[in-house]
Amino acid sequence: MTEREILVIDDDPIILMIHQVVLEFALPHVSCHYFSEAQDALIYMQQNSATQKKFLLFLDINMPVLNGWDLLCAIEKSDFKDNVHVVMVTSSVNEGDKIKAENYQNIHSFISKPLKEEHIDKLREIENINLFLV
Amino acid sequence: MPKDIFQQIFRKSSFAEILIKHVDKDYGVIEVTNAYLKEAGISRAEFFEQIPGNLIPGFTGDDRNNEMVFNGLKQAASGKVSVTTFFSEVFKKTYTLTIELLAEQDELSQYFTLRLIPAIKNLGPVSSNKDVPHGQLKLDVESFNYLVRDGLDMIAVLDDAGNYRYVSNTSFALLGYHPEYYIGRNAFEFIHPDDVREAQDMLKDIAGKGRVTLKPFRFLHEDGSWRWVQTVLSDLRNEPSIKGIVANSRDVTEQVNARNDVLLSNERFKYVTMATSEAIWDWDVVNDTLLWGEGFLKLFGYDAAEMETTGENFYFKIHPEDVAAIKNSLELLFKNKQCNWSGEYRLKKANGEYAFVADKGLVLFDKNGAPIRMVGAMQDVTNKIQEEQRLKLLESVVINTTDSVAIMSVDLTKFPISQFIYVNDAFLNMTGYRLDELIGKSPRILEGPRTDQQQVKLLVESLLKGLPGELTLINYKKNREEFWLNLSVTPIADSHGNFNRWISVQRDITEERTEAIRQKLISGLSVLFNHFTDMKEVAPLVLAEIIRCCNFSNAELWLPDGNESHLKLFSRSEADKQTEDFYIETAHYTTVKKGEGFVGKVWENMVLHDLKLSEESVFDERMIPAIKMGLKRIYGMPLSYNKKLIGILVLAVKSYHNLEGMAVLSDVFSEFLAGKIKKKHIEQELSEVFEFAPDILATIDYRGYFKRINPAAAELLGYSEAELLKKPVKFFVHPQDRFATARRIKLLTEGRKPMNFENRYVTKSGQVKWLSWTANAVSLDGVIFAVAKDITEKKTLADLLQKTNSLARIGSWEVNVADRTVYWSDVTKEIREVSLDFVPDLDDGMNNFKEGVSRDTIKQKVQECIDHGTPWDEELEIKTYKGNYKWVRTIGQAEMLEGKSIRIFGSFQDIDVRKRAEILNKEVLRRVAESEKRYSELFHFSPLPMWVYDINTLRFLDVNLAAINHYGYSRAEFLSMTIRDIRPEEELPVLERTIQDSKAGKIIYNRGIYKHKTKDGTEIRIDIRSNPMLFKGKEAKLIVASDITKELLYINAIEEKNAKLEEIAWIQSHAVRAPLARIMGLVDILSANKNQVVISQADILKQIAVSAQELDEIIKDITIKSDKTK
Repeated sequence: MTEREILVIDDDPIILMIHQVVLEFALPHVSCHYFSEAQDALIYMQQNSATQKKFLLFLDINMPVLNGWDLLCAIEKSDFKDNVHVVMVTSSVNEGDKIKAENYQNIHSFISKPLKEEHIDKLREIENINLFLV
Repeated sequence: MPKDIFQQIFRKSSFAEILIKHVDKDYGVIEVTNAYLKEAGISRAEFFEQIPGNLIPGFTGDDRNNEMVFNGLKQAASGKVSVTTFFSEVFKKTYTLTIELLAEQDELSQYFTLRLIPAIKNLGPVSSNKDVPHGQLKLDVESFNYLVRDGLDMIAVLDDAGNYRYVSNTSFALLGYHPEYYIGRNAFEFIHPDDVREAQDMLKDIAGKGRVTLKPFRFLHEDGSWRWVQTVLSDLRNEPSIKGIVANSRDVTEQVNARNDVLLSNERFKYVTMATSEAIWDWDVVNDTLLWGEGFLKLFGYDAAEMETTGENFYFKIHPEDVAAIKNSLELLFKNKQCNWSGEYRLKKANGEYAFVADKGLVLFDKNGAPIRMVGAMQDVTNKIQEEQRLKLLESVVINTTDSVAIMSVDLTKFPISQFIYVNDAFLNMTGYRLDELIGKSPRILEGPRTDQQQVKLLVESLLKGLPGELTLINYKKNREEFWLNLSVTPIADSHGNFNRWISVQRDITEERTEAIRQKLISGLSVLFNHFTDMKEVAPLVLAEIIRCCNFSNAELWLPDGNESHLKLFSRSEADKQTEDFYIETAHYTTVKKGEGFVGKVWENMVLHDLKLSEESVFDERMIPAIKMGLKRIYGMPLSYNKKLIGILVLAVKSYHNLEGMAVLSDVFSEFLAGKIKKKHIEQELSEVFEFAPDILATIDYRGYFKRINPAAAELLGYSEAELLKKPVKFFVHPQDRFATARRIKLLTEGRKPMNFENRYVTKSGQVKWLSWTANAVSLDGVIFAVAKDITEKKTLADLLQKTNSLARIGSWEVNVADRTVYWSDVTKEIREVSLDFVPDLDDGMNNFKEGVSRDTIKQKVQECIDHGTPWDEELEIKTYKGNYKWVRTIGQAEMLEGKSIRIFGSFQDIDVRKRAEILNKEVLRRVAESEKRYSELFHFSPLPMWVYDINTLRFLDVNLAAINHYGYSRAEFLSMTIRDIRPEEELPVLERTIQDSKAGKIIYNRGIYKHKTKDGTEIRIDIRSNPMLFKGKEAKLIVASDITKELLYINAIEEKNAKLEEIAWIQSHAVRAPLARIMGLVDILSANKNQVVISQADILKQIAVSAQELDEIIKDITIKSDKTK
């Protein structure tokens, strides 16, 4: 069985904590990892790429150093890009971001912060994503 | 009547005779002679009264004599004359009774004569004692001897055993022995051994019978001969005076011999006639009666009744053609008193056929030399004659047949084993030998080097086994000429079964063989000629084939040159090194003139030359090398076609005769080869025409494919020849013409008439080509020969003219002045809007011009033209038949004859559109002038600056007052400037680009905002609208400019404010949302009262406070920024 993990990436530690609470509550059996820097998440994925692990990313856009788009670019160039599915989690959703997102096939949804349980329920309806949310 | 006469004659016979008829088992007395009645001393009536009981009435009353008579009759019936004696107790005399068969009427009735003759003459004393009773008869020997002394009978007395007790003295006269000799001897000692037994039986038989007449038997004479003796025995043993058997014997030798001779001869005759195949005849010449032997009946199938009984009648049986000759020969025979006659003639048989008979006869003449009798025999020689005829026929067949026949004797002990013993003329003719040269020679004399010995050997082996054989081989005539001989030999066996003859029938089949070789050669050469196109290519192959088939060593073909003044060695066969050396040696010898050398001689005489090579027969310089090479004979054969020289075939052989060569050396072959070469020439010429003709030449087969097409066609259509042959013709034809073309081809193959038509072809590159075809289906198999010319150009021109005329709507017309008939062309009719079958007249034509100027003008012009020949050219208006008005150009002129016009004609052109355009143009020009004026006013008095510049030179062409005022330049200054001069430096690249785009046609209408500068250097922002226009014949642009410098400043201020508002919006969306999201999340955790360990409640509350603080600061900041935008 393929191993699936959820990675949550946000520069705001409070937000990270809030998300952890929500996810642990909603998905007590799913393995979740939390990164305050996108760079760390990328390294983590590279290290695990050989295992054919599949990742679901809850990704913030506005981050210092390496923002959400930069991370997506890096994934796009990597050899594990097909194993990565992404849900964008931002403070505000604007049209420009949605247009930009069309260039990335593995972005499945946009969610406004903060993440809530009803978001998780919505995500279960999306193919590929639902496999992570069990 | 005759019966009575015969009866009388019979009665008067001098013999005592009775005629007896025997029918079935009954005997009847028919008649009795007077001599009998007189001797018997009874009357005729008494005779017939006594006859039923007594057969010899008057002579004896003893019944036993009747038995004797019956025995005699029985014997006579078998053909033997019965002679017996009996003693007449009436007359006391012994009589001889002779019974003879007179005639046999048929199987059932026989006639006999019974004759009585007194046995002893002068029996007077006896008869004188007739009254003496038996018992008292006492004779002393003396008187008895005396009595019988001179008698012919020997009288003897025998005892029971046959021993003589008494013999009369007549014995000596009768048998040469004295009576004493017999006494004591037995009678049977003297009887012939063959007769003894019968005689003994008779003797025994006598007991109780009294008297027995013995058959004559042979009795020994003293001289050793046998005498026939007839004896009558009388049993007188009971007579006391005799006491023995009295034998009364008489010598009947002469009678018996005579009878036996007759019998024998009759017998012989009968046997002879039965045994031989000859028909024996006996002709009584005097009485002309003819008797036939049985042979005749047998031989010729006649019944006895059918037979002629006279010589005269017999002649009817002889073939009419032969009768005269036979009669003549007989007459001649009688006249010359010759005894022997023979003749051959045809005799009619019972079945109507004629038999060939060989007849021989012997003539008997009387004392006076007159023929009295002729006896002969004839033989049927039909088979013999037929056989003779058959042999003659066969002989004549053998002699005269055209097939050669030879007969050979075969003797295995000799060498050669077979020799000619007969040959017929045909054989001599065939071989050329004389008869004496062949007889005694072996048939192998005909053989030669090329005779197949293996075949001969097989044939001989077969013949020696007695089996016939047939073979065909090469033989040699006397002159050593070869010929093909087919022979069929049959061995013939003699009577001992030895095959010692061979009969051979043979035929010279050289002609047939030659013909066969020729046919084979001709068919082989035909294939070559058909297969190769080029004469140069085919000629050496043909010559090689001729050599191979017909055993020539060389072959050359000489053909005339272009102007037929020389013959050239066109081709020759290739051969061995020796031959090649010959050609190297005579390499320069390749042309001859007529009459020059061997080839020239053949040309001159135009007949087959056959030359035996020898030192004497040197015709030209090639002869010596040829002889050296070993050639023995050369032939020069002229090849002519329709009596015209085509070439000369020279052939050579290394032998003196070439049998197979005859196949080539014939008129038939010459004609064949000449024909083929001629055909090749024609083909080649045609081929050249075909290849180089500038027009299209093609043959099209019955399937609708090109069979052949020339390079010109390929070039014109752009396809290779191969491509053209691969697809049906219709593929290359313009689609619209395909159906019509297919129909043409069909018509051609059906009709076989030449046909002309035009159609379009599409070239490989897609161009349409008009071709004008002349096509003809010539050959029987439906091949079409077609020639085509490229008429595309002509067609295009014609098409163009028609199109032009049609487009230009130029029609024509004609008026015959004399009868005022009018002709309008179709276009004219179209222009006038009448149907094409409309028949116009002159007045109609003129009245249809529009009333007023047009009609008046045309009437006047036509009149002037008719009267004076003045031509016209006018543009006038007509009213068409449909009521429309149209402008036309009408041109007319006259054809004058002797100062008078006979015909006027001209054109009629629809110029309505042009004319109306012209009219319209005038209107337009008028309006343009008006608009020019208005433009000028608009331009010059417009409040907006306007100018016109030349798009090529960019020079100002015109400027208005507003521009002068706005930019500060005077009008004169403007007109000396280009539009570059009113632009600041940095704008110039933009200007250049715009100008170029405009020139390339990318921009027609242009609007834009540009920087300009005024005379005093102030930069102003100008909104430009431009429009292309023609300004006094120059390409130019009209520019309308409005100064928007002030408007732009205002817009900048608004945009700054907007940027600030945008910043506020961003802050709101990003900065405000971040703390807000945190608060919302934390509040959620709190309110949901989630059991979690990630974050403590205290921390949550602290974080909510921090986030609220942050939010507050952000909102203050927004307020400050918003104020700045005001």
